Formats: sequence, C-alpha cells, structure tokens
Amino acid sequence: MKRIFPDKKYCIGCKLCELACLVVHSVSKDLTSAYKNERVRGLAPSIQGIEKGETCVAVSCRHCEEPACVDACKAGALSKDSATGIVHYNASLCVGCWSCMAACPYDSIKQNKFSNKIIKCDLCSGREDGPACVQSCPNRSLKYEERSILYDGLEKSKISLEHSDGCGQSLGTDALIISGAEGDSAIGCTEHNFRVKFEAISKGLKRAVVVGSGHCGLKAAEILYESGVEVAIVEEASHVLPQESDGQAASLISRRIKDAGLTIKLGTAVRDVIRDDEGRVKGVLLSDRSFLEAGAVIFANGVSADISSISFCGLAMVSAGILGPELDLADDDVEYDSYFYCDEVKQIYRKLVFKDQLLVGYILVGDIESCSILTSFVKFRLDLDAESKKLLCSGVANLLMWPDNFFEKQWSPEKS
Amino acid sequence: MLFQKIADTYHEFTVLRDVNLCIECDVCIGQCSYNVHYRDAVCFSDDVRSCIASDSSKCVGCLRCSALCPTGALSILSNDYCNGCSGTRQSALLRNIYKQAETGVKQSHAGRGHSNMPVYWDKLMLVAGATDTADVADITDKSLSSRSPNYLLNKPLLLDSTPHIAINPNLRTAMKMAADKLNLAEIRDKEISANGICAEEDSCEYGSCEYVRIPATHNVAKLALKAVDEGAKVLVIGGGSRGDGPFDRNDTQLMPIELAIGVVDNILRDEGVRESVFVIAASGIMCSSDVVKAVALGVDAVSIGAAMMIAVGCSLCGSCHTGKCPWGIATVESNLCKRQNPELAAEQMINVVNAWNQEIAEILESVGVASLSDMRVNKDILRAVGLSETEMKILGVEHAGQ
Repeated sequence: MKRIFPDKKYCIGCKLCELACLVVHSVSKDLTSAYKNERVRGLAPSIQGIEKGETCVAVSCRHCEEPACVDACKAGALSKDSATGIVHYNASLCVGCWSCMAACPYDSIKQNKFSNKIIKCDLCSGREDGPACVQSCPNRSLKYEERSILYDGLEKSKISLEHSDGCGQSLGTDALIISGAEGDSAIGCTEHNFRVKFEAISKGLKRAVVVGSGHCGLKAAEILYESGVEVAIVEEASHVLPQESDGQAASLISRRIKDAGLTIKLGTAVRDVIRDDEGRVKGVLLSDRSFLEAGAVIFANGVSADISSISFCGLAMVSAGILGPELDLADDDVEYDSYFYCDEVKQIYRKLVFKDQLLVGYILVGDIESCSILTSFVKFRLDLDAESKKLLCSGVANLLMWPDNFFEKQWSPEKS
Repeated sequence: MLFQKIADTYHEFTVLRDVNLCIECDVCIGQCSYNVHYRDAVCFSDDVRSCIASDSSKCVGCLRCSALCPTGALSILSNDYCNGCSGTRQSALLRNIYKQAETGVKQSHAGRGHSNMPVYWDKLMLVAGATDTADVADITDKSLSSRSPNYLLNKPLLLDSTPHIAINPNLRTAMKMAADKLNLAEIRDKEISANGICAEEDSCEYGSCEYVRIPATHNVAKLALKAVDEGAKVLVIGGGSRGDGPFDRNDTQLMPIELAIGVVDNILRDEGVRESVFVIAASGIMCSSDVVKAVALGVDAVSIGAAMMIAVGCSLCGSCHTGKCPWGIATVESNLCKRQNPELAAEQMINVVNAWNQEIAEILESVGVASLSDMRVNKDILRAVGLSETEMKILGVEHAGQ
C-alpha cells in the first residue's frame, strides 16, 4: 500500500501539512473557519510537525502491517482494512481509553482533549489528490508512495496487549461476574457491550458494589456511576489498579474517584453475598465484617483485561513496561533507576523506571501525552543518554529523540 | 517611531497583513530568516492578547512569507513611491545613506542600491524573413565543428554552478541532476562538462574542457583576445546586468552583457579568430527570447543560471550578501539549505528549460530559422528600436525599418 513518508532532511517546519489536514477534516472545508473556529471546538490535525533543535519532521499514522493500536483497542473502534491496508478509526465506538496511544510506538495517535477520543490519520481516504498533507508540502518532504516499511519486528513485549474477548458469566440479573476466563460469553468485554449491559442493569438500581478495581472493574463502576447508581468499589489489594499502577499513581486515581462520590474499600474482600427471601441481592458482607447494601454486585476480580490505560472521570492513566508489584519494588532495587514526579494540585503523576541506558517501564497519570514516545523507548529498547533521560523525565519528548539511524530506518526506508 | 533612529526604522518595504485573512498560524514567523514577523502582546480594551506583528524595517522584500502564507494574508509593498522621486529603488538609496549617517559603516551596495542599467534585449527585436542564411551566417555548422570541443556544439543552453557568491550545495546537486536529465553542459569550477549518453559513436554528446572566464569590464575585448592568443578554446563572458539575482552582485564596473557580446564578437571577427573559439554568455539571460537574441548577437551558447535560481524561488531581492536567504538559495546555513530539496529544485529547473525550448522552437519557426545553431551570429535577424548610433554600432545591428 501507499504510505506517507516524511523526510526530515528537507522538512522546513512550516507545518502547512497540519493546516491542510485541518481543512480536509473540517466541516467548513475553509482554512480560516477551520483554524479559527472549528479548532477551538476540538478539530485537530492528525499529522504533527515536531522539532528538535534545527531538525524538524512531520509524522502521522504509518498504517502498520500489524498495528499495535488495533490489538489494544477493546472497543473495536480501530480496525485494519485488509483490502486497502488503512487502519480505520470509528469515533462512535471509541470510548477514549487511550490504550491505542499507549500501544503505538510511533507517537501517531493523539488525544482529542475536547471529545476525550483520539485523532488519527485516515490517509484522507477517498480524496482524489491523495493525502492533503503531502499535496501541501512546499518542499516535497512528504511523499506518498509504495515502500516496504520496516515493521518493528520485535517480539511482542508486555505492553503489546493481548487481544482478549473477555467473557462474563451471569448469575441472574443482579450479580454478575466479568472475567477473562473461558466460558459462554455473557458480556463480550468490549466497552460498547459493557455500556449496554450495565446501563440495562442500572435501571431502577440505587446501589451497586463492584468487586475488584482493575480496568474492567473501574469501567463498570464508571458506567454505573454515570447512570446515577451509588457505587462502592471493593479491592483486596492495598490500592486500586493493583496490576497497572504503583501506590502513588493509584492514590491520585482513588482521590478522583472519591471526589466524584464513589466509595472505595481497600484491603478488604467479600465474604458473602446476602440475598433476601426472594433471592434478590441485598448487599455484601466484607472481610472486615462490615456490610455494604447493594442491589447488584459486579465481580471484576480476575479480570482479563491486560490493559495499560484507563480514564476515570476525566483522569487518564497509562502504564507500560514492567507492571504489577515490580513497579513498587523498583524504587528500592539497585538494578533499576527510577524517577518520579507528582503534582497533587494538577493531579499529574509520572514515574519512569530505567535499567542502565534503557527505559523499562512507566506510569503516567493525568498528563499522558508522552506515553507513545515512552512506549517506543520501552518497546524498541533504544539507548538513552543522560540528556534524553532528563528530557523524558521532564515530560518533554518527541520522536526526534530516537537515535538518528533508527529514525531513518523506521520513517525513511529505501524505496522498494 | 518613538526613541528610535531613522536608520533603524526606515523601511524599504511595508509588510501588509490582512487581519481578516490572517489566521495566526505562525508560518511567516518560521519562514522569515530576518525576524520580520514575531509574536507580540497587544493590549485590547479589556485584555492582553498575543498576536503576530511585523517589523517592516527588517524586511528585504524576498516575498518568502507571502509565498508560503496559506491564506494569502501578506503583501509586501515597495516604498519607492513615498519620496516622489523619479528613478527606481530610491528607497534603497535612502536606506544606505541613513545607515551610513548613523554608523559610518560601508553598505553592501556602493551605488544607487540596485542597478538601473538598460536592458538591450528589450530594445532588440527579431524580424522574420530577413535572412538569407547562406549569405549572412559566416559561421556555419561546418566551420564550427572544426573547433573543439565538439560535444558543446548542440548545447546552446548551459547551467552555471559557479556563481561568485556562496550558494546552497543542494542547488549544485539539483543543477547537476537537471543538466544530466536535460543533456545540458554544466559550467563547473574548472571545466565545462556534460554527462549525456553517447547516442552514436561519431556524434559525441559528452565530455569536458577547460574554459576562461572573462568579466564584462570596459576592456573585455582585449581580455578575450588575450585569452584566445593564449590558447583558450572556450570563453565565458560574465556581464553586469539589471536584476539582483544571486549571480549579479557588485556590478557597477561591468557593462551590460549585450554590449560585451557585441565588442567581443567584433574583435574576434576582426582578428579572424572567431571560429577558433566557443563563446558563452553567462549572465543577463532571463527569458527564452534573450537566448535567441544572444545567439544571434554573437555567442555560441548561453548560461541560464540566474533563471534557474528564479525557478527555485529567488525573487531578486538582492540581499544575497547577508547569507540568510529565506529561500535557501544564497546561503550555506544548514537550517536554510534544507529549504531546497534537490529533487524538487531539479524538477523545477527541468520544467523551465523544457518550457524555454518550446518557446525557442516557436520563435525560430516564426523567424524562419531551422535551429538555434543556424541562428549563430545571424545579426540580420535582429533590429534595434530606440538605440543610438553608437549602441547599434557596438551591437552590430541595424535599426528597425532599415
């Protein structure tokens, strides 16, 4: 297939490609209106001009042969068209979990902060003159042509997310187990199905208990909460998102959840589900002997979703690389060199874990814009010098931090 | 302007920004290497906003910003009208004197800023049917072919990659690409060479030879003769000319190329050595009819370097000496050099030459000459309009109507 290839040797950094992209994807198709009015309402270019010193280049989606974003998308919003090769994005299915961003090592998917969805290149599909950015480049530093792209060729590491049709098991209409275990699929674990199912459950429901605060648990809690149900989250571990986060990042998420009005019980397990004479759920008995009243219980304990990102009440979180308990351990481990930054007021948390010259894991909460770059450093095992480490830690990152020859190999392969 | 000297605020050009069209995308800020455009805080009645402002006093009139502005919001006006004087480019003259008065430092233009020499090409017309080729053209292809170098014979157009100011290496690459593609010869530092493919063994299309470059000073004729006496086979005449392209700096001592061609042709012919030397005019050729007229006037080939620079964006602003050419032409700064993608530049050059070739073919057809080489030293096809006796004598042409 034809793809867009940037040439950083001749990119002059004018960013006219971004403007062309805006116009073509605008409603008005008029530059002035698109840039001055529609941009304020969330229109954004899907090609980004980036700069580092005198070097600049414009990057957009590569429409990979084996796109990590499609694997990561649980909602089915991203799909690879086998005929054209284009990775399509269906905004109506997107739930804004930003898993794709965390999975993409090419920094080609951006947050749309207005709609809480994503922005991704569609190669101007169907446009007569080909992609608008290529047409608008005054120095022909963007080319639209057939070349064999070098796929990363690395084995899928922990961050390339297992695609899973999580299944659910239903115990009546008021107690539900969502898990990745094999079995008859009561709820396909896509966000869309989640939403339909939980919105059905929430009808007439006043209180619910969600057991487990992994990604699925929190998503379930969020949907119930949005439907007006009073939700309590019960988690056996000492913090929410035990698999995906360390204590400090989790506390930011917890705080946001509590601020929204949900209850969180940490370090407790469910002993029993109490039902009334007619078999309806009345509540749960917890290991600390307290009782939580609820009309429905959702068990999201051994949830499948090995998902690296989540948004809750507008607070986004991404983690990748070494996950789980190791993340906490990394602080004391001499093998690892970890950096963290926390801004309680802005609710931003950033933790980067290095091993020698490599970035091996990270957690971002709040500001997740640089997640894709961090993923690339983890995934491609790119060596970092002291200066690049410093930049990554400060939250400033772009693809031009890649070693030069690696960048050329990935973005400007020889014409086939 | 408040608290500032006239030397700092006087501007040759005015940057006009149509605020209704400007979307504040910052493209102009990024493109201007003279820092004309910048972000400024502007106070409105109730708040302070960042907006784009322009400092016209820094503008050299290169037109890069207006060319790249996506909404066409920028116009660059020359301020020549403002002092009511006749003559061109008064504003450059004023700017120089203001600067000199303030600083006592020499300015890049010693003269009136920009050359105001007459363009003789425009005063020469081509006339149809006036030729009895066998009679007039005393240099036939046959006599030409007795001279070396043979491979240049069918190449009336040359590219010149040796301007006397530093130009972007990417453009040298582009020129080489264009010359190879078009099968043109190229003037390099030490030689003129062509890399075309040899179609048949006996008609050689490629080769290289040394040349002697002579400036079009008042003694250009003597210089030419001396060079030929010393054995030069190829002469390249660099003339002074109007226009401020990258090839035309410091031209006050040089005569217009047309007159230089005239005197060189005259003296070589008088001495009977015209046929032993290949003469190339290397400046002042700006359009296809200039090519035809130059060949008719007495050269064997012309170099079209300046037009090639215009093809890749040069707007003849005449600020080559700053080395900050925003078009990435007269510069060696790496962040400006990358503004010329050799692939694109070569294509633009090739397109211009192809277009010129079509135009030249049309002109030749209309005056009834078969090929450009038949046109060589065919002065009878030229007529002057509004030139003095002296000028016509030097050029060797008759007045229209004669």
